[in-house]
Amino acid sequence: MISVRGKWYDGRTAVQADVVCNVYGSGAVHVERTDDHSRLVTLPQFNIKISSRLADTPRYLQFPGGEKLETDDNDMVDRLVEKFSRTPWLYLVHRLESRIKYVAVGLVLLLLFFWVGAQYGIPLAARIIASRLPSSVLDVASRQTVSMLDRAVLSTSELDSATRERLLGHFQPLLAAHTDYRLTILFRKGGRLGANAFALPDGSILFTDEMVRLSQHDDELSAVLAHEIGHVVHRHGMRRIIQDSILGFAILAITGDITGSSELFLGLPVLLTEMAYSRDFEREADRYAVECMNTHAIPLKRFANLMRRIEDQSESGEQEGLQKWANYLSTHPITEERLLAFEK
Amino acid sequence: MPEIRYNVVYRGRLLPRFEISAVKSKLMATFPINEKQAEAMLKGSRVVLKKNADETSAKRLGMALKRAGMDIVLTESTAVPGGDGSQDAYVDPRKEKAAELNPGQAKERDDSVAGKQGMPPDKPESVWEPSAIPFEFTGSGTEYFKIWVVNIILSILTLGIYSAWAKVRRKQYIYGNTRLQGAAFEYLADPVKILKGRLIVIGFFVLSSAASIFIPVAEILFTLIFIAAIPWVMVRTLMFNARNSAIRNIRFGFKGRVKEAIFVFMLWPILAVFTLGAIFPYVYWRQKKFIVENSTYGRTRFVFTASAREYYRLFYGALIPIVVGVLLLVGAGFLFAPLIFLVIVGLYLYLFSFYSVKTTNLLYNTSSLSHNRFKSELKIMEYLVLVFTNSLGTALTLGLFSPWARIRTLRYRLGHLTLFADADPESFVASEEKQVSALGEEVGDFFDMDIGL
Repeated sequence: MISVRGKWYDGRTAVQADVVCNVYGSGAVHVERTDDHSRLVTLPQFNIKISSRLADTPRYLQFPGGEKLETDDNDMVDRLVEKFSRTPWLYLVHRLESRIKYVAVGLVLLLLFFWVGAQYGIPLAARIIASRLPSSVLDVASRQTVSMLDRAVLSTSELDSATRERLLGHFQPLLAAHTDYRLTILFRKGGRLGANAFALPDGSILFTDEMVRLSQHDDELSAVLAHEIGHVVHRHGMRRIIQDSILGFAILAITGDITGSSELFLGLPVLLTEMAYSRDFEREADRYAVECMNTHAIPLKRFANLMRRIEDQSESGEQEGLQKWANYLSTHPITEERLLAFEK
Repeated sequence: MPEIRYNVVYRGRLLPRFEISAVKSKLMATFPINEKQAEAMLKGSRVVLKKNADETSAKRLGMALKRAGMDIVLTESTAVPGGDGSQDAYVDPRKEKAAELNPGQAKERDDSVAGKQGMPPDKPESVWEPSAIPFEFTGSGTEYFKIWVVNIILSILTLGIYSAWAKVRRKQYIYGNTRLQGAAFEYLADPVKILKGRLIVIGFFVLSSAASIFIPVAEILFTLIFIAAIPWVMVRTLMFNARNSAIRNIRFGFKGRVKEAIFVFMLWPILAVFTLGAIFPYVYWRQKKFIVENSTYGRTRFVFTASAREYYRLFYGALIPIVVGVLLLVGAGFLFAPLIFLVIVGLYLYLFSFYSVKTTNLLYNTSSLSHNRFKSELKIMEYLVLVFTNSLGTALTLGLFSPWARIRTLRYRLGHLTLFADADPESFVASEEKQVSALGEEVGDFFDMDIGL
């Protein structure tokens, strides 16, 4: 005989009674109150649905008449399950949940999955999606970015038209090689952005006056142009947006809705991953620049020279405070490894 | 409306920390009864001591007996005034019969106790105090973490199919560890239903994006269908969640109508936008009112007593910390620029906690079920520390801390929630209702529209 003690609820009213449920070897079931031993239910054979085990939460024996017995005596209930009903497959899940070693294996798998996903899965997915989307999707966004920057930091270029004409002429061979990408060169006074250059998804490539002045040879700017074209060709703008969305979605999916915790700091892991993605993009653009410069017979050293000059300039403290962080190097982190690739 | 009359019921047990002998002598001192009569009163189980009394005398008598140490509840009497109350539907009929089996004894009790109304003599002005029943939460972060890891792994391995079971287990763990008077909450949703709901949602989106490739107008059409469905989705979500929640083997329910939901969740919010948010507190109040007043436990509806004014006060009260925060921000800007970041974080955390704490407290403190009131006593600063540590922990561990964060939050919220039971917790009666499919809930979940109550 297996006896399970618990609370009895008849399913029609909220009345609670302390009961004991005796299950005999034959499967006969007797439920009686513990105070006056009056019989509440008699079943000739075992006909009870048993809720599956979940940690130490209470279990429910559901009787055919809609009554329920709520009990904390999980071990006794497990014995009942063993003896009278098929072991549900969810019991396997309970075993996984309750053994620390399985959970540890699960955790390792999980971390591995996240790592592989973040390292290869998300970039791959973004690459595939970006190649399927028409590039015009981001035209509006690009135009808005430029006008936003114009309002906030940039101002009209102070370069004389002769310089601009000269540079555009100098860029011509490179631009001519990329007619598919609708490249447009823009010049602006950088202001707080300092010596900088960046590409937008629609093919606009923007140089700041400061960058032009800092260069000592037009080929240095061609090198930068080649790098920025690399971003456009590889659709880095679009891929960045897709990657960030997938990442955000994944983080939300695993942490779930944590009421009582704001998303304020959840940006941190996203930011770190995004920085890693950004470095990958730079490397990819660098490889493209090297190829390009080789085809157009621009010495690779030109790129490295300009980068070193920017580095020196920011280290010598010519730009102060926040400005120092906001130059080309912060969005294009230059590592020794990258420069060496251009100095071979 | 006829006056409500009450039965005074002894639940067959003493209040905690009372000794039978002490209770007996207290009874004999308070009421004109002898030892034998007192023993008879305390013997056995649930019994109706006084039937069909008016509110004042029922509460006085109940309080006097409670002070002596007896576990007393008042149940609403359904009998006509002056009647003998034999049609009382709420009292366990078997027990009541037991009391009547011995008419002499029962009569004697009735006479002896009720014969002298206006008790007790020592404190005649005393009023009925409902018993405070705290919500208990026994969940553990580590246990929840294990379930969480297994949930994610199995969901990944089964390409998302297990996620329906994962959701049910996650909720079952939380519900099962939440107790009220020893009874645990129960989450009863069927994972198969949830899975079907999810598949239908996914099907809808595959269909809509496939259709919009061939017919450009289809996208607009599907979007309109979706927007039109929002109120229905809301109502179904609330219904599904309520129907699948139970305690003491009695389910909750939701009886809100889609027509009303259209007003509350679409038209009013649109109007709030046009008034630049000025009537937002009113709209928010309407939404809570709609949710609470249409919620049921068994056959009993929840009651919502908050006025729109209280919600106006709450939301306009947030202007004070906002103004103070902006001043601090300006001050920090003058003193030392990097301080601005700290002030922004602080202000954000404060406003987040302010909103969560104030809305939760107001919602519970103005909701009641029959004669049972709730009391939620969250504190803004305590909650702020909790949110801050939770967020920091979750960020630093790349999300691995989130199960603990969830448990910590629930422990705090439920640890500060109390039920003041005036009516008999055993007086609730189940209602018969049809099952609700999970589709509505899954549509809601998919777009994160789940509404917290």
